Amino acid sequence: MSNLYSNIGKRVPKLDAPDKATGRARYPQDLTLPGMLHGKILWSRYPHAKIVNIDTSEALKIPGVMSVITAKDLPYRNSGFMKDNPPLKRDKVRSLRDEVAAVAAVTEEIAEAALEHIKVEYMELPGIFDPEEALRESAPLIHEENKNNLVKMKYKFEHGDVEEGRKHSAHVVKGRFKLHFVTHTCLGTCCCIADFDSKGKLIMYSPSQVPFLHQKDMADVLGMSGSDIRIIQPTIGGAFGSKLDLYPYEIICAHLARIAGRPVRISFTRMEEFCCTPTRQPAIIESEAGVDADGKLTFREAHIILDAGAYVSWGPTIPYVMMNSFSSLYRVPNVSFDTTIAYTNNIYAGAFRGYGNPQGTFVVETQMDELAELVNMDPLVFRILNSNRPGETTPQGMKVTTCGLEECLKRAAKGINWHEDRRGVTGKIRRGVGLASFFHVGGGARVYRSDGCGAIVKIDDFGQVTLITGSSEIGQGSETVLAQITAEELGVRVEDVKVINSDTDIKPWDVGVHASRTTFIAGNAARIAAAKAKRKILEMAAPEMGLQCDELDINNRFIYYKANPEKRVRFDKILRKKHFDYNGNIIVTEHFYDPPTQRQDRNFKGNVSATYAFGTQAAEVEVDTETGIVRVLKMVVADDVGKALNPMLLEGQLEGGIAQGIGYGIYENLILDKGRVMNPTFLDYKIPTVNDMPEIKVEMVETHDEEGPFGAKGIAESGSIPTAAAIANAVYDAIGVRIKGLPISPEKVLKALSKK
Amino acid sequence: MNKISLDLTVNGQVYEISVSPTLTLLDILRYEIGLTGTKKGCGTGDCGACTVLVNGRAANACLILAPDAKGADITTIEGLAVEGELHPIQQAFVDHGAIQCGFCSPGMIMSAADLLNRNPNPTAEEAKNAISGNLCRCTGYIKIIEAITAVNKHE
Amino acid sequence: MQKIIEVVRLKTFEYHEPRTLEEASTLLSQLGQDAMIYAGGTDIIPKIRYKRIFPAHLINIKKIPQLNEISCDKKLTIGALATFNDICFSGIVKDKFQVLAEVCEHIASHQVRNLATIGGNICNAAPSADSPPILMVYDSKVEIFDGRQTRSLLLENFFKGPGMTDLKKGEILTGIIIPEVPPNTGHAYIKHTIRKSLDIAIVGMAVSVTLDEADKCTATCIVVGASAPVPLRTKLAEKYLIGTYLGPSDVEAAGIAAANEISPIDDVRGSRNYRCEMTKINLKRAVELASGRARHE
Repeated sequence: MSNLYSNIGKRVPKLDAPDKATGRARYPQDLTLPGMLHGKILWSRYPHAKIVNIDTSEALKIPGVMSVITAKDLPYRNSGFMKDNPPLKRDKVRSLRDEVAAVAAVTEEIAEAALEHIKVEYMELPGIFDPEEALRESAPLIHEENKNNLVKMKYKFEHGDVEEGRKHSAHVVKGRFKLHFVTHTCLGTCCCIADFDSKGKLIMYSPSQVPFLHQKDMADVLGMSGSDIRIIQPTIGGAFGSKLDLYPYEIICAHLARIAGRPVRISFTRMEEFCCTPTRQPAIIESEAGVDADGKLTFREAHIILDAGAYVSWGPTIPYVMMNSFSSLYRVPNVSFDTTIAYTNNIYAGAFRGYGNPQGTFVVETQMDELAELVNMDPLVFRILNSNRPGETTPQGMKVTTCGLEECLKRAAKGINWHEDRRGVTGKIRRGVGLASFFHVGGGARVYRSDGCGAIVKIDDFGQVTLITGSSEIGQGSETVLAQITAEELGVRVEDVKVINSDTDIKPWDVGVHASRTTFIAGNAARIAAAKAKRKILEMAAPEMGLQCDELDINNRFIYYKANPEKRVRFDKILRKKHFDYNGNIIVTEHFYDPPTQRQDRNFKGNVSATYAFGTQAAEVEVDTETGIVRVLKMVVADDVGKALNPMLLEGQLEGGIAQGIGYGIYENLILDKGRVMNPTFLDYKIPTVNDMPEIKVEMVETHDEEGPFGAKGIAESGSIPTAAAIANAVYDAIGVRIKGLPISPEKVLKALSKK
Repeated sequence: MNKISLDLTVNGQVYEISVSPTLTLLDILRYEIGLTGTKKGCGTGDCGACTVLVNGRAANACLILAPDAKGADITTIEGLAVEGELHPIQQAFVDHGAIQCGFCSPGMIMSAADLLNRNPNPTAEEAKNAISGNLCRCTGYIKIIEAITAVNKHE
Repeated sequence: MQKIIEVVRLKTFEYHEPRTLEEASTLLSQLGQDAMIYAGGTDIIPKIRYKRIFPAHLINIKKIPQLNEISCDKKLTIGALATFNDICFSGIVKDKFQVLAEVCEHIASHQVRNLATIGGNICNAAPSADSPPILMVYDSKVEIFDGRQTRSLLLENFFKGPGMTDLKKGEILTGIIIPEVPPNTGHAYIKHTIRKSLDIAIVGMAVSVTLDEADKCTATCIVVGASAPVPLRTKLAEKYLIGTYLGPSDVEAAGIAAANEISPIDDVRGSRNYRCEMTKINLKRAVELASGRARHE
């Protein structure tokens, strides 16, 4: 099949890799504009306090300080999903990462020194740091305008009849799971530059992964028109969902630039990155599930308690995706899902690769293993019995078209030697294997009215193809895959394609990098725009070659006669001729691809994605029963990728996702004590090092999705989704204890073993 | 503030600069000389993004005070490629998909350069030890190890 | 309450670069409390960034010649400025003090090991530091120069608390002396960490064991790191081993004694209870390793 293609299915190196390998790539931290000032933010001293007074006069006297701003200098406009987050806090602070004041100065050191001269008088208020306690009547109120600390968001989904399902169950499992705080730790810390031009238009150099949403949100909060804001995306030092929301520091940066009349850069220190950026959404999940005597799932019931933190960013919206793990990962006729979301004085949660799915999958897949054991089935056989198949519509109305889950399960199990008996080992070190699968959108996700992406294909008279895509490169390799798609469709080589993707004044609209959608959505947009360009080229060439358009095709830069490929002409030659001919013409085509999907209704039903991705991970672990230390020895990942457009980059996405999943499962834990991050360094917040990575085997199951570009599905988030669950199941296999909270720390393992 | 003058060689070029002794080598490279290829990931020696070669040995530029750079021979990521031709390590990182967001790559490549200077044909284990002080959040390291061990292996 | 501030660039301090030990010692005496010795910088720079220390003067001793030399004539002498990579790549150390070489090879990261000095690691007196426990079980002494003369002190007596040492005004640690290893003696160090690299010990367990011809333990030294205000030699635990054949019950008793002797804290790296338990487990494992090496297995 892959022989059909000259660019698709090839291990094409990333187009931006040479610049990154030589230090030439420019991240926001590397950019300096003439006259640029440096901004620093004064963070709150208390997790919950009234701001009685702020005196900035001393700070303003410091030579080199150009402006000092507080909430008084800003319009009364909030940011955030619920518009509850003032860029600079007005009367009170609600978390230790609250922005109280900001300084712009000629150097970063002066700005930092000035912060120490801003005098803030606080009146400390009692804080609340647990979502369940936050909902008690006596709890201190975090947002005074509300009656209580309940966030007014509800994700309630019902399908079938759970009570009926329970009645028909031979076995029921019930558990309370606790998912913790983790953070993205992008190697490049948050950094942006704001600059106003002489017409008052704002240029933001921003690492946003959703520049057009950013433009709109920024316009709203600044009281400007979106068309007066231009977002330029320099090279981005990691995102993983962390750049999905507009954050106060970016708004503050714009205000500082406006007030100081000079460009301003704000760049976070590593400690700020740990303490003052959103986390993955922590969760308490109470879940119950049943199975009949034949091993078929009967029902699932889940209640989710979320700690939003002090403000609502994307974190509390994750039930939208988490719900899918419960309703659609395996076939289940009766589902009930409900949420309670509370404000606390903790730092707030945002979007992070997988978006609630790793949390939900951890619960669902733990309970799958528990049910398999109760019904006395091999966990692999049990999963296959309950897995989705093509043609299925899930309880949430998601239409499964292509689905390779069964093959993924089998190949992951085979890769890990699932049937090898490891119980013979009886020493202090035990081994075990575990499986976990995932279900995720693979063809975009219609969470906004449009899930579209625009693409423009322009071909110059040298034959250079320029793809101007709405999508963004955040390191994942999208521009390379889009270049491959464009080249394949046009019949040119990948090196003939240049991708422009980092300026909202130039590129057409796109929702942004989220929901694993770029390859699928931006890929289809590029493919169709390229197909239109090809049609135009053939129309130009046909009279020149004395043939009909349909008799021609393009391959390897030549337009040729399909019936006699010897008869051919270089395509740039035709372009040049047609360009400079009298009544000349150039090739510019566009396409806006919006997938054939629905927004979910109020009951959370609707086919939100054009296709769905499936996959399985198998983990082999070693547990030291004396120290509680878990080591992952091997991971096998088998993903239904539709079609691997670039196997090398695909492996990279899955391997990197697994590294984050291993971190989530056993190493990483952002420890908060009364709202304060207690381990804000790379020494104490333990992302995996190279020595902590196991062997990883990647298996690609190709189901050739009809709607996907050349058959592909989106898989970018999937690597991170089932890893922790697979590890937890492997730990159970090794030592016979279920750890229902992450990370699976040595102390938790020992505690569980002592209770065994 | 007392400034100190110092000269140092960066990528074969001698620089004479006058700086506060409180600056680090990383500050000098990025802000005084304008070589921004060397990244600041943490500023405390915990991530390896600022790794450069100091007199041929890998070191965290963020942990070296300016006066200690006096007379030193520094190689940064910008000094590896010769006349626009990628250094074999850089080429291996490109070819093996060892780069995603790229923020750790300069430090990672300099650590690899230090290893390959000492040991041209490292095993995967040796490669791992050489970069165990370089954090990467994107790749899961697998392709980085592939790249380092492939540099001097010619079929 | 600590604010979320990490300094962007280091705050101003006076920088000094003495050429001799005498000069350094004089500076240190004159400048008093506000002055600090600067060697590898790998501890001082992060501490300044995190605003944990505010030195007014840094005295760089790296221009003083010969302080980084490693030499051996039966006893091993390591200059205070020897870096961890100097030590772990040293043929003499690898040959005769193998476990010390191995420990040095796993401290921090390769880049840091090219900068960090052994003298600095000792003088920082971090309870979790890796080099002091292993040096202590090698019976190491430190040499200290006060501007006029050198005194030597068992490393075991050097530490006074977290960040506190026996160094008096104007004194500088110049080197470490490790005596020749007695015959039939084995050493071991277990660094108990969550990650395999770039991590700090939750418990550091160093053990030396000397056996007689019948494999009876005639001498032992047990030092626990990260579990007390100082790297702690647990003499009570040692008593349970001396004169025994290191049977399981002897070692278990020693483990319990060690766990009672240490005084660990609860922190983000581990709980007090976990540290006590890991002291027992790692003591057992380290004794096994060390006695195996003593028997030349």
